[in-house]
Amino acid sequence: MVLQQIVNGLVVGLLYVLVALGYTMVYGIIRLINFAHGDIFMIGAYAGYAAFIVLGYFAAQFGFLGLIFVFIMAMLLAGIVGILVDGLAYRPLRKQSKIVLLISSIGVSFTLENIVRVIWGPAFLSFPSNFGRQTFHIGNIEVSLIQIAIILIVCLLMVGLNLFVKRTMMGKAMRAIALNDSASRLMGINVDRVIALTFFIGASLAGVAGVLFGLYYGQISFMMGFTLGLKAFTASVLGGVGNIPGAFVGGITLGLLETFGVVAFGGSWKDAFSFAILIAVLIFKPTGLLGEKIAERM
Amino acid sequence: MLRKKRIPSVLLVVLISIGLIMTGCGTKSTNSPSTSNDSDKPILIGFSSPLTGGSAKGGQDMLNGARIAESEINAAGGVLGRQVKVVSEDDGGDPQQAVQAANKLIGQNVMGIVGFYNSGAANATLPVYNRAGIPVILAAVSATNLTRQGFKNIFRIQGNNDQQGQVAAEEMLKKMKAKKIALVQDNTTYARGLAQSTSDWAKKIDPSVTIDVEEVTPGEKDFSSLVTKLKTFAPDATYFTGYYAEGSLLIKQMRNLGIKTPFLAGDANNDPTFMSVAGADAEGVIMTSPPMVETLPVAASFIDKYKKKYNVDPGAYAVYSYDGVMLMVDAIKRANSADSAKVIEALKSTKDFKAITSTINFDENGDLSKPGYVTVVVKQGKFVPN
Repeated sequence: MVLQQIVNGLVVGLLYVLVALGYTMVYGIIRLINFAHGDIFMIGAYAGYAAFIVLGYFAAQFGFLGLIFVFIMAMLLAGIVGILVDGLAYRPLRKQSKIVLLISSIGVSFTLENIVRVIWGPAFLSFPSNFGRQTFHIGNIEVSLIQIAIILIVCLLMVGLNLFVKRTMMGKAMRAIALNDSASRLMGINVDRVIALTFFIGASLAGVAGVLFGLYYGQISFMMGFTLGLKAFTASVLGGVGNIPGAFVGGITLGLLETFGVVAFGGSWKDAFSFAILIAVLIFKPTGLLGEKIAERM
Repeated sequence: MLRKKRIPSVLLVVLISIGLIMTGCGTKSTNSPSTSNDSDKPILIGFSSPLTGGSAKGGQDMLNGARIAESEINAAGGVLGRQVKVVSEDDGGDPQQAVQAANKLIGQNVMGIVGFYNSGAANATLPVYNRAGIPVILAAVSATNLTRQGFKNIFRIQGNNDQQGQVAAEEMLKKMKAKKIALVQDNTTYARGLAQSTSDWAKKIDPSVTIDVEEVTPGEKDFSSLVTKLKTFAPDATYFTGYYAEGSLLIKQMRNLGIKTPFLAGDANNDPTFMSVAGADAEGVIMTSPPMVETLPVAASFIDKYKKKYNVDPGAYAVYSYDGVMLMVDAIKRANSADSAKVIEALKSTKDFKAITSTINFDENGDLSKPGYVTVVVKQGKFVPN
C-alpha cells in the first residue's frame, strides 16, 4: 500500500506543480505573490466545462480530438484572463510598493470568484466527461488512465517550459527582467509585453490544471481555487519561490508529505498539516528546498 | 496638545457607546413578536437554509418547496383572512452565518421559522430563536441533540440521528452480516453524531464488530490517501455520514481503487447530484433516509407542481420544507392567531397532522413520536426502495 500512496501523492503533487509554476514565474519576474492565481485555475476548470458543453451541441461522442479542443480552450481562456488581470489590476500599480500589488491581487481573487458564482451559481457542477476512468492493475496497485495522463502531461509541460525559458529569446528576456527590469528596458526589451506573456503562460498552465482537476475528481465549484491555490503557494515556497525546478520539487514533496500525513494523523488534519509545513519552511528555510539563487531567478 | 486632543476622542467613544446602547434598546422593542393589530398585512414566516456553499443545492430545493406551500396557501385565501409570506435568509450552512440570518429574520418580525439543512447551523441559532420566543420547525436536520436542550419552541418533522444510526447498523450487521465496518464522517455536528450513534448501535448488536472511524474535511476533493488506508483495512461495509458533495467523490475514488464492498451513506446524500457526480459508481449505493418523495404515493401532485414551476426534480427535502410551512400555517389556524406564543402551544398539541411525508405527532422533546427511517438503493441512477 505504500506504493499506492506514493502514486496518490505524486498525482496530487503534480497538480500542485502546475499551479505552483504560475506563482513562481510571476514572483520570479515582478516579485509579486499573485493570490488571484488559484482563481485562474478555477477559471480554467470552468472554461473546460463550457468547452465540453459547446462540444456536446455538435457531437454526442467526442474522442481524443475533443479533449484536445477542451484543453486548448481552457488554456486560451485562462491565459487571456491572466493577461487581463495583469493589465487591469497590476500594471497600473507596478510603480507602487509590493504590498499594494498584493492587496490588489486579493481583490482580484474575490472578484473572479464572485463573477463565476453569479454566472454558474454557487452549487458545485459535475464535470461532463468520463474520460480516463479505466484502471490498470500494476502489481498490487491500481492506476487509472487519468492519473497516468496527469503524470505525462505535467512532465511534458515542465520540460517544455524549461526549454522555453532556457533556449528562446523570450525566455532570455524573462530571465533578464528577473535580474534587473530597468536595465532590460534600456537594452530594448519590451518589459510590459514580456510580463504579460509570463502571466499568459502561468495562467494557461493553471488552466490545464483546472481541466485535469475536473476530469480527475469530476466536481468543480467557484471556490475550488481557494484551498488549492494556497496549497500550490505552499508548494512554491517549499521548493523556493521564484525557481521553476523548485516548483516541481516543492509540489511533489508537498503532495507526498500530505498523503503520508493523512496516513499518520488522519484525514481531518490534512490541511492543517500542509500549512504547518508552510510555516516550518518559512521559519527554518525561507529560501525553500532548492533556494533561490539571484543570478538564475527563473 | 496631546491631552487636549484626547478629551474629545474619549467623549466620542462615550457618545458612540451610548448610541449603541440606545439603538440596542430600539431594536429590542421592535423585536417582540407582535402581530396583533396589523391584520391586513401578510403573516411573515421566516425561512433559513443554505443558498451558498457546499449544500446550496439542497438549501435551494428546500426554499422552492416552501415557496410552493406559500403560493398554495395564498391561492386558497391565506390563513385567518391574511396572506402568508415566506421570508428567506441564506444561512450558508454555517453556524456563524446562520446566527446572523437568525437575527435578521427576528428583526423583520417573523412569527416563526421553518427550514435548516445543516445541523451545525441549526444548533447555533436555536438559543437565539428561543430567546425571541418564536416557534422553529426543523425540516431537514437530524442531529439528536437539537431537540434535547430543554427548548420548548423547537419541533422536528423528520427522524433523528440516533434512529438513523440504528437503521444503518442493522442494515450492515444484520442484513449484510458485516464483521468489519468503516465509518467515514466529516467534522460537522451532523456527521459526527450520526457516526457516533451508528458505532454505538453496531456495538450493541454485535460486541465483537471491528470499527474503523475516518474523517474527511468538507470541501475536500482528494480522498485517495484515506481510500488507500481503507483498502488496507478491507471493510465488509462502509458507511459515509457526511454530505453528498464529498460522498459522491468518495464512492468514486473507492471504486476506482478497487474496493468493491457495499457502500452506504447517510440522509445528506439522497440528492440526484450524488448520481450525476458518481455516475456508474453510484449503482448499488444504499442510503439511510427518511421516506423519499419519489417513493411516497401521496407526493405525486407535489412532484408535478414542483416540476412545472422549477423544471427540475425536487431534491429530497423540498417536500419536508413544504410540510413544515403547511404545519406552521395549520398551527396558526388552530391557535386562531399568528402570535408566536400561541402558535407554539398549538404546535405542541398537534394531533395526526396529515403531512405528505408522515402523519405528524410530537413527543415531549418536539421530535416525531413515530419517525420512519428506511433504506433506499440506487438503481439505474434512481432511488428505489431497498
